[in-house]
Amino acid sequence: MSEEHAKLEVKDLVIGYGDRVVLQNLNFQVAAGEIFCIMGGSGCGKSTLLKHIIGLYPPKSGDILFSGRSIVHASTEERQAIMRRFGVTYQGGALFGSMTVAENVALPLTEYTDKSKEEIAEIVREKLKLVDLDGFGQYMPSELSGGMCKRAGLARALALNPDLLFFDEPSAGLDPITSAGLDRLILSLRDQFNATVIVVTHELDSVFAIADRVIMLDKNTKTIVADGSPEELLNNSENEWVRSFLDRDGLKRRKKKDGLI
Amino acid sequence: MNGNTDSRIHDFFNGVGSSVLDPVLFIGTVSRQFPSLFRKRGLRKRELFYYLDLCGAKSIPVVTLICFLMGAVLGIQAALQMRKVGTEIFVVDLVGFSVLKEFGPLMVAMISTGRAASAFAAEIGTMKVNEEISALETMGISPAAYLVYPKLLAMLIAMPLLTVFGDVTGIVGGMLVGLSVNIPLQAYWTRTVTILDPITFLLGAGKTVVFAVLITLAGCYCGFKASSDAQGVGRGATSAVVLSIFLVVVADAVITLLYSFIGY
Repeated sequence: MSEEHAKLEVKDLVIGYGDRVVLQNLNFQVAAGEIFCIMGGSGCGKSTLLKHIIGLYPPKSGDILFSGRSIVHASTEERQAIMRRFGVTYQGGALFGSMTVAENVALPLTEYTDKSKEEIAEIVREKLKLVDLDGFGQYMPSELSGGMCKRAGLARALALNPDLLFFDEPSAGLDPITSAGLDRLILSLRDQFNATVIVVTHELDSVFAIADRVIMLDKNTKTIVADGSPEELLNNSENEWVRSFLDRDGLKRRKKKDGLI
Repeated sequence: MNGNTDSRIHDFFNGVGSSVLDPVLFIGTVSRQFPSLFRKRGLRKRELFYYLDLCGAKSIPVVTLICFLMGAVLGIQAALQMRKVGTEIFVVDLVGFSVLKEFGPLMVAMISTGRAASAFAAEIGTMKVNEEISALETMGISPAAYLVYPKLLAMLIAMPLLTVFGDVTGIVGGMLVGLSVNIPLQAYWTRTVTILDPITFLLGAGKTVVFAVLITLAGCYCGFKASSDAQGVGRGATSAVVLSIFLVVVADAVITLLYSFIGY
């Protein structure tokens, strides 16, 4: 992948909280139109990495480039302008509880565009339809299920037609059918709009269903231990832990052997 | 000195440093966003009215009752002492000045602390738990501007108005006590309007502007600082109330001292 075409580039990144280093020596690029998954065991720093990439926290060192522009070294205003090109879907949807679903989706449009109320209402309808929530605009977030909240959060993330979409644990707390529906939605967003998607997850079914590329993070070495397509890593990774992590059949066999299924 | 002691000293100074620096940084962030109020859709009217209702309209009954009782209690205590020297008429002076200059603004501030500061901290803390604050940031919207200013403006409008209610009902409380020590209503009223001038009222109400800023900033700061869990939200709300009361009492002392320099 050439540097000019990388939508997102992470260079020598070290991240953490206070004195604690969570992840270090991180280097990877995400190409335009790619579905890129960040994987790893619980507590390895997947969500922390996501929060640093989207500019919520400053890294300890290194750089993050979005279409060649540094997020880390940007001024507050420049960073906010870059962040408006991102659409982020959080674990629980992160909808504003005091607003209806439609008002949530409309928020980025009312804040950053000069569109009329009618135009905004039309875009909101279109985005809600895209995530299969047509007719739910006047509902309050508290009236929606977990899966619906996530989809409403996705509709809001799509409001400004972002260049880069982030998902933090999209399948967490969802039943397999709803989760598969969300996977199909992510694929259709890439196929219809050539969206670049970064997904933080440890759901293997989702990873194999949607990911073009995966990086695996390891809690012990605090860095990336594998980078490639899910199939490549499963079949050819030199790291046994990576192969074992991605081996869904092996996991079932181990569970059966232990009498868990 | 061993490494453990070193580390504890380091942690102590780190803690002291951050507890001083963090509020300053927070105030700086909020102040820096002030110009955003004047851009298109800078002031969110719906939120402003919501907080006006929460901090203002919904506080009227409790402010009325508390200040009425405070006026009555002041009147009773004053009457007990004044009666000894046959100067019951000075109950009017004591109640009038105490309510307008001190107890009206202070009682309103205490009620607002209980209602608003804790509500602000709990609301922002819960938004933090639900990742709504992160969502705002990733939309390029400053949470400081978006969440603090509607609350601040509402408090700046509501608290002086509540003080009017508090002052009036406090004086009415004193007036009813005055009846019990044989001060006729007419005499009580005449004495009240003779001794109290608009400046006295304005100085008292002026305090509430400072209190409004302190209570709002303390409430919001504790919300933003709350850790992202249920206990953290609870602790944030408690800290907001304690910090607000502390700041209000200190500010009241400083302002009263300043007023005394100009003869009030």
